[in-house]
Amino acid sequence: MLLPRFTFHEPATLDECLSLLNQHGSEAAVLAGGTDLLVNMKKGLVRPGLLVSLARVGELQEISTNGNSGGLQLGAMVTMDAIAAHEEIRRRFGILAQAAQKLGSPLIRNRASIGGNLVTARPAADSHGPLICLGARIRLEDLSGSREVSAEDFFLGPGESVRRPNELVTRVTIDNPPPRSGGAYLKYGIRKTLEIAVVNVGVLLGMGADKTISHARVALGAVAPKTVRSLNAEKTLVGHSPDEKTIKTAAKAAAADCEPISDIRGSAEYRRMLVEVLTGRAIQDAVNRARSRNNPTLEA
Amino acid sequence: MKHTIQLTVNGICHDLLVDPNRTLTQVIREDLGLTGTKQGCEVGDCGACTVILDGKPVNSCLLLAVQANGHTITTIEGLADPQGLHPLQSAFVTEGAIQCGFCTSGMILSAKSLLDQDQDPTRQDIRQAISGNLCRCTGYQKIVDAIEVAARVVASKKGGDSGSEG
Repeated sequence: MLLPRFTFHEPATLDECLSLLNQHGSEAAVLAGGTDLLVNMKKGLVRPGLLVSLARVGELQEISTNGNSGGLQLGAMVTMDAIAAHEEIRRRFGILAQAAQKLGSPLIRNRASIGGNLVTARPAADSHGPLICLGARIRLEDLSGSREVSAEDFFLGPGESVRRPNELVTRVTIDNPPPRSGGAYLKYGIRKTLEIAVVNVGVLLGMGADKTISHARVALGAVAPKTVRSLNAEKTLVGHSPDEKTIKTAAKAAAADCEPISDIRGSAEYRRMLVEVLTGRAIQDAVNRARSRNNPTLEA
Repeated sequence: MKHTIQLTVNGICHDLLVDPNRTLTQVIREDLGLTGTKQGCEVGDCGACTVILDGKPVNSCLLLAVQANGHTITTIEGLADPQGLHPLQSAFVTEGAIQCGFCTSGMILSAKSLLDQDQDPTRQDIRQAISGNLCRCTGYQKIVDAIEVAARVVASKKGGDSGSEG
């Protein structure tokens, strides 16, 4: 399986990257971790005339956390392994670390980047639900300037995002989760590694001082053309205490909100049942984490 | 257009002239003659092409050789030293963890990356570390056994070394 011919650029600055994208438009492809792009090029699914590698642009490789108040900023080239292993991300943005840990294999995670996982816009992608739950904002830059789009608005459908050919995803910014919050990411597949989810569910909950749920986000993956929020599940949760009945009702609402298709990995009916089961479990898991005495968001 | 690249492979620095569309697997096998790195699925699913890049195991089939420019690579040929095989290699032989052998280089390099960080891994840690490496002879039990044995050897060597220094 040989790669087609292309020219290769590895600029040292962001400006040079943006100039190349501006000059070549959709003829150029951005090479980040390469775990999707090179596979698609080998299979003949895409045939860019030129690759722009981001490996030498320092600012795209950085993770910054500014203590308990400052949120989190991830450069587009930060790898899944770096996210999964990062102490501060595991502690305060645990739902994202959980997802990064479940992507691909250890070998893939050492290369695959957060920017790549966004831009490829797969409906089953592991990072999308957690980023939507965390209210992440995605920064896009081109030669004329930059804009920020919420993770929820970034995806349009399978393989489609709001990114224009001359734009580069440079950074993901995440504010601190609400106080007394906990998150859970659950992925169901036939095997544990190198698996594309049959269904994945992300839940982020914040608990009020009165012990009811004050904030809820529920995101469902692989059950629609893109990862979607279940607004009805969220509505069911907010203002209620997370008892068995509330969790059950929310899980049913999530199953009703999704629109899965039947494919090689599972039937629509099976997926809908999985959404109900996984949403229930993820809510319980998130509640347990929110209530945990070691919960770092108690400090906020 | 060909690119001039510099790769440090198993401690030896190579200056090479390569086309950008050649993978690191191809350059390691064809230009450097290090055929211990295997070309399997070529799409990152099987791990036969695993090499250690700057301390981390990666699929060399999903890395362009030009991307490895300036980086440090360890292949299976870099593990043995003049005293003999690496403990992982010895353990794979003694524990019967090699059947057809095609996955072995990748298994050992993923295992080495694990043992470089953790000399007392659980069987679960071992399974996790080799989860990107497929064995189609169905031999995982013995592979996990071999890595466990090697971990003990590596740990005792480390202990012995620091003891003699102390």
